Amino acid sequence: MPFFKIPLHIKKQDVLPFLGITTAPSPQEENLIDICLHEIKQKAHPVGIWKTYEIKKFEPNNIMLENCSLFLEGDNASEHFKTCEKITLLASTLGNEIDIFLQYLGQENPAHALVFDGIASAAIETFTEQMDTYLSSDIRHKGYFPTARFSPGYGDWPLKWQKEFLENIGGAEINLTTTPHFLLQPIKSVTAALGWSKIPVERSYTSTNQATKPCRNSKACKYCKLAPFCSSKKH
Amino acid sequence: MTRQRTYIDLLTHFQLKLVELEVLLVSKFLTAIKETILLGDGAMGTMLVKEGLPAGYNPELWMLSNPEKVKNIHKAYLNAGSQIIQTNTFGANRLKLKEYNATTKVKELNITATRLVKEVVGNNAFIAGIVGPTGHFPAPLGEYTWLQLVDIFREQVEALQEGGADFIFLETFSDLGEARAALFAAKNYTSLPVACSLTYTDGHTLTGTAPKTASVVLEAMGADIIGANCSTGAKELLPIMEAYRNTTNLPLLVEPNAGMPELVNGKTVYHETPQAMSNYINSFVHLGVKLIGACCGSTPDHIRAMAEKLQEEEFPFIKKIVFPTRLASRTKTVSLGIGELPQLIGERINPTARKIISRAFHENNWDTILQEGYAQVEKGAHLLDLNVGVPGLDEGKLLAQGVRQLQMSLDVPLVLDCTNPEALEKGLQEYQGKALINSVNGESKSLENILPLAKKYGAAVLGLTLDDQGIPEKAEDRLKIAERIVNRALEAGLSKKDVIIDCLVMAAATNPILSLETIRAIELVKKQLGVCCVLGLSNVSHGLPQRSWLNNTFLSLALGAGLDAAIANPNDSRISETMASCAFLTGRDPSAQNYLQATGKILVTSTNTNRPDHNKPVSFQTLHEYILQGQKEPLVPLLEKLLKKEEPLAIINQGIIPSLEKVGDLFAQGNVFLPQLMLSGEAVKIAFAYLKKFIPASTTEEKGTIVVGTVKGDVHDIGKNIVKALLENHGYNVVDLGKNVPAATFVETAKKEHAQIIGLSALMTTTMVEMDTIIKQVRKENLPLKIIVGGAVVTEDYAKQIGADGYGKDAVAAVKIVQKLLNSSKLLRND
Repeated sequence: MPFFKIPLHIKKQDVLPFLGITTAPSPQEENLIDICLHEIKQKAHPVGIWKTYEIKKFEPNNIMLENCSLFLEGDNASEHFKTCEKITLLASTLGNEIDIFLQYLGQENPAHALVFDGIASAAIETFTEQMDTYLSSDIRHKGYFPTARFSPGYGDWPLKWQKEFLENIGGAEINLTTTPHFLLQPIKSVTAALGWSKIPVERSYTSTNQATKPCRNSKACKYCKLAPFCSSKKH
Repeated sequence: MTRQRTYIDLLTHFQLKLVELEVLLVSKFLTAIKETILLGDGAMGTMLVKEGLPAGYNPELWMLSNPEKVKNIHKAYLNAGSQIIQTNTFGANRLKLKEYNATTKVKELNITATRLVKEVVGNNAFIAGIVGPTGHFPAPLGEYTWLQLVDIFREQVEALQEGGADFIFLETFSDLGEARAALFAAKNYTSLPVACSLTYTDGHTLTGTAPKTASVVLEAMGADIIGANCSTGAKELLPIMEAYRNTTNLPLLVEPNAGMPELVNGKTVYHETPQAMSNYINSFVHLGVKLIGACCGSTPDHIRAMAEKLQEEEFPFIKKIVFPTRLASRTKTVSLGIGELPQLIGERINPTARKIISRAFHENNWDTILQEGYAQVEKGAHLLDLNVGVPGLDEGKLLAQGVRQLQMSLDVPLVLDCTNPEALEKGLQEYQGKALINSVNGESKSLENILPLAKKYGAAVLGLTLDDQGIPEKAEDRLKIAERIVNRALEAGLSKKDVIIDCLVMAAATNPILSLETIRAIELVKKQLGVCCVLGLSNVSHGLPQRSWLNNTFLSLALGAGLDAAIANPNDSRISETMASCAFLTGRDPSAQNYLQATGKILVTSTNTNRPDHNKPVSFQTLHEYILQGQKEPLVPLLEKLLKKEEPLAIINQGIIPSLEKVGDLFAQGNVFLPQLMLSGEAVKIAFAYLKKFIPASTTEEKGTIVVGTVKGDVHDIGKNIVKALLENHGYNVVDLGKNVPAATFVETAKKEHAQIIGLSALMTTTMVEMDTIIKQVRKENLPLKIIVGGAVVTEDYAKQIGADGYGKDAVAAVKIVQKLLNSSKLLRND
């Protein structure tokens, strides 16, 4: 399975939304952010894997892939990928050392834990975005148009498919697994499907189509950095 | 015999003529680029689709069965005004063709593609032999070594030259390491000029290189033209080209996207029209761009519009900039020179001097090496010296491994401390930046072996002023060796900027006077040769006590003489102080910005300029400020002084509690954010811990016990930890059960601890249902417990629905609810 591995490259302005900071940080906050930016470079070992599948069949409420036991279940996924011929399944993680450090910080220094957690979230988001850029470039050069990412747990695609997702693309090769409740382990990890569309499709989350919005049912959208651009009434 | 000799002479004569002709042609393209601005062509991919390329088909293989269609595209661009036509070979390398089981077709595809262009353009345009990325970055980022990638590119560039390309055009590279491999292949296995173009998003390549670093590395490696293409449109490429302009005098190239068609509100939109794109021509021309084309989404119409615009342009005079000596990693550039700050090269990764490093190499313990690297950078090292010379171990293998490990984790450029040419070459093959080779010296063998490697791999060299006679005593004799090194480096094709001299210092214990000869030698080298000087500092104090005194004093003298960098121990904090002070005093830091920052520094990564003022009045107001700002350092000293005039309980009730409440209110109003709230809470925790010992136990009020945890199936606990911290700050006893806690554990623990409240946290819609289970259990057993709930997915409606006693939308709200619930409980008990 091909790996995606690039040094972590994260900018301070990218992390502020993940800390809930909408204006300028205070000097003490900035100091702690600097420390955590320094720490994340030592503790994070970002790596990604992916695999591309032909779409075998569109069924009502379901997409089946060739040689893959994963189903992209739900109306939302069907709508999102309806113009696609292929799907790339990708997974990325910052590694287990982040979890261990967060566990330690959680007991010793909650403020540090809070900031480090935010920065780690920004880091996995940035890394996944870079992986998306890399994969999308190949999709475009082959004459297709990449869709926005869509993950198990988004809309009505049940989270339970997370386990199947990882088993099919070899999550174990990057030490990525799920808990019995289908949460990813290590915690700062992402799984997502990227569609190869025959026609141009929207890649931003500013669509008025609420059905495809990934965070439709989640109160977590209030922390989302896309809030200024989102048409969701939740913001 | 005579006839044979004549035949051979004739053959040789014609071969020489061919080479001369080739040289002439090569010069013709480079001459054209120097004298004028050349217009490239546009997108191939989208044009091929218009000619009928089916989706998913490989464009290069399709060309073999549809050559006329490819020629149609070339003709269209030529007729639109293109002076450079690109070969249809973007993916014609072994790795890309592997997907289509066509790895044996590399030569055929590249030669065919070049010849198709030739058939169309004749002598009316230059032929650009296009080389695109393989999609694989060099190890450890990818599965292929850098040398393997060089070999893959070699196959392609040789075929492009054979087919008749006028220059090699490396296009759309998103990793500097992979670009280096392609550039190395083109420079070493063809005689063609090479243009090298990277692709940028938000000012960096995918692997983190900014244009200012790319220009340094690619120019050192021999690129003739550098630039940027793809990813973005013309407007976004302007700052990229400006960054290039400010860091290289090489001719530049640019090929913006016309944009891929995007679906916006149901309509297909092309963002950059021909007219819009051509409007940027003037700006690019004034930035020194000599090759302008267009990339994805563009058409002959774009080229036509650009051609018309170019005809209106007057070619400006682009002033040459004098650059300092520069070294670079993949992501960072460091400058040395008269107008630059002195730089610190960390010396600690050296097995000769340090047993722990030697052991780490023996044991393949790269964690230790990395930690040493981090530690030196934290202490102020701008570059790191990497020495792997351990008797009995393979130096080349170790150097390659060391480079891989360090450059993956650290930004700083590396100094490869190795004089074994075979080993050094292995390190240079791994290093995806512009390294400094430590070292060459005045001996012929050293110069013959090392200088060509520096030229080949785009590195700078550090020359030691010693030769087979040893280290001369006199400064003038050291100057002679330095001069020899510089001249030989120039003969080898290196730039003078890429030669740095170390005038060497001996142990002062053996002969103190000679130390001053080193200082004189630095002065002479700087004045007469005009090159940078570096010094390995620690030698001067060898064998003497208080080494830091001597090292720093000598460093001051050397910096005064013009030293540009020192190889030293960053753990000696005086080194940074001496460097900052001398930089200011010698005019290298005219506005004192560096000096002021150095004096105000807390951590190397900190930008905090708000240092606590220990002279503030001893008052509740000052206490309030410290708590609000989360200042821990001055808190206990203030409390010590406050205790002299106030009772401890008064300090708590009138100083700390109101401050904490105030921070909570500011948070609720959105005037401070959660990290600041937590920092204030930590300051309060320190204050409470200190004051506790002054407060009689009988007077402390038991405020209540709360059991908290994240429900079963959920592993998110940051929010829960914040609530726990704030409750403790407010004096509550908190029993933290952690995460993924079963319902029964919450109930049993609450009973055992005589808790008044259970606090439940959940972050997932799938796990918050556990809250209902816990509440039902508590009610069933008729326990006198209140339950509050919170978490990213929990809403007030849900809390009411499941019968919770309170809902905390955030940590501060949770604390307020606990206060309210426990006060109500107290009132009820009193009744």
